[in-house]
Amino acid sequence: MEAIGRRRWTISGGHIPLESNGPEPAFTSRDEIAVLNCSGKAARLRIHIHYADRPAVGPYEVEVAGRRVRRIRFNDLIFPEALPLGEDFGAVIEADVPVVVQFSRFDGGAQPRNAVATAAYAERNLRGGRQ
Amino acid sequence: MPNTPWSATSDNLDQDCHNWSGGLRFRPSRLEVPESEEAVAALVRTAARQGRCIRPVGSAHSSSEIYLTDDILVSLAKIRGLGDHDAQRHRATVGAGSQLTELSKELQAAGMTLSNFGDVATQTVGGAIGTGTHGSGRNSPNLSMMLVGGRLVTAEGEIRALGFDEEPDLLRALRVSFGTLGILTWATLELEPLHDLHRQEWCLGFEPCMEALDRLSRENRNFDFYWYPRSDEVKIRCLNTPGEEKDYGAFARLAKDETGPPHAVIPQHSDLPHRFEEMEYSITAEAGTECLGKLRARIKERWRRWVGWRLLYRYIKADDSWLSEAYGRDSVSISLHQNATLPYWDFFLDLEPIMRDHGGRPHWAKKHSLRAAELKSLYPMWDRFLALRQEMDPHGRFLTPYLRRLLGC
Repeated sequence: MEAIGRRRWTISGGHIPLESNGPEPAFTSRDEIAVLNCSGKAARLRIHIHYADRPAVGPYEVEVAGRRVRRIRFNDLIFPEALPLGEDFGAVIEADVPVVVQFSRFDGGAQPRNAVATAAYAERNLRGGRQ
Repeated sequence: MPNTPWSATSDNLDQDCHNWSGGLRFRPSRLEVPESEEAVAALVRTAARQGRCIRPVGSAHSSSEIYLTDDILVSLAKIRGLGDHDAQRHRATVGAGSQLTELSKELQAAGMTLSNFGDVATQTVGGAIGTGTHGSGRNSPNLSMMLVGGRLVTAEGEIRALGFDEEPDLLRALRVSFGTLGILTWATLELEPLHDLHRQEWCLGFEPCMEALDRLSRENRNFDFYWYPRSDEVKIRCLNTPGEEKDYGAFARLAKDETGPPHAVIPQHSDLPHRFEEMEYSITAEAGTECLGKLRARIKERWRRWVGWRLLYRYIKADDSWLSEAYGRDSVSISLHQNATLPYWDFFLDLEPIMRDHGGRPHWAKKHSLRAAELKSLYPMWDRFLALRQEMDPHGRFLTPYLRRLLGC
């Protein structure tokens, strides 16, 4: 199948909720991306995390097999360093093949709030190319 | 030769030495990389005449200050490789500067293997033995217990042959002594015939793991697990003789499955590119789960915001090495980790009292805050070790200010 999506995606409203409530990991509060790789080869992702008051950290390197979808919790990323919970961040996600990225948040704190699902932002015209 | 900072002699270092994590930096007055055992002995004699301190260093993976010095640092990187060996008796004399990964390939060619490894195999033989490095398994003592003989450069600069059969107490003291009794140049090791191990890693929830823990730890040759504080999940790691593995598919998800010789399948993180700091304590196996429960609760309550790294829970068979973490008691070790680029001391110091409350003994090569007054009560053979140390090194040739505080001498 032909690759679908873009090579670069951005998320500006990251904020992993600090508190969780209920059995884990199903009810762990989280910021998460779901990455769809329709191409026939593995997609190698490089993620840089940006903060409000300190330099960006990265790359976090993640692989998504060809013709697979993978959910990646920002909570679980520890290389090169764990993201703090409860702090604003933005993410720039670069892939070596076009992929589709969907961002979602589940907030299951003591006063549960609604789950959020939204598309990440993809550059429409990366370096003038179709992807 | 391994590409280490210790590959060339220098008496005018133009930059600091540092450990693996980068958290320790120091500048010795001289770095020596002697070509032979005789050169080590000559170096010690010279240091003795000049009243100087000399510290051996392995691969600098340790994150405690045991090898830090502003005086003479000596690497055994050129005293390495497989020496005399007997594949029938599974014994070999090896250079103390041998890196475990490289040595294992030589041993493999000779039909032998180390019985166990830690999570990494970048340490040297001397460093791994001297610090009580261990892997995991109810029937697996730390790597120091492989030492049954060898050769030691004494504080007088003499070369002394060692054998457990001839001097058992000396070996019991020497095994875990981090270079404070002398400089081990050649180590005679009790090994195993070469064999394969089947490694399986399974992911499951914390509670199911705790319910099955006793059985899991008893029915696998090597068994340990990670607990992930930000998901409350567990990854168990099981190694067995092929054909003797168990199927945990009913309550866990298989995440890894591979078979190979021990050096290929036990250490999994030798090439980890990202650095971390670590605190580890060993406690009695019986107290392990209670201690773990308290640590887990504390981390979830107070530290999950900052700490994403996993906690590692391992088993160590009791031994009789005087300063071994597992002296006289079957133990579990609990390791805390934090990225080296993030603050870690407040985290470690907040949790250290929990492990101390359970009779914990700190790993000599990792972060801890204890000094002689606290350590003395943890080791029944403490006074005998210090007496022997004083006898073997009366002028403190192998001591630094840190070690004097650590040992109280």
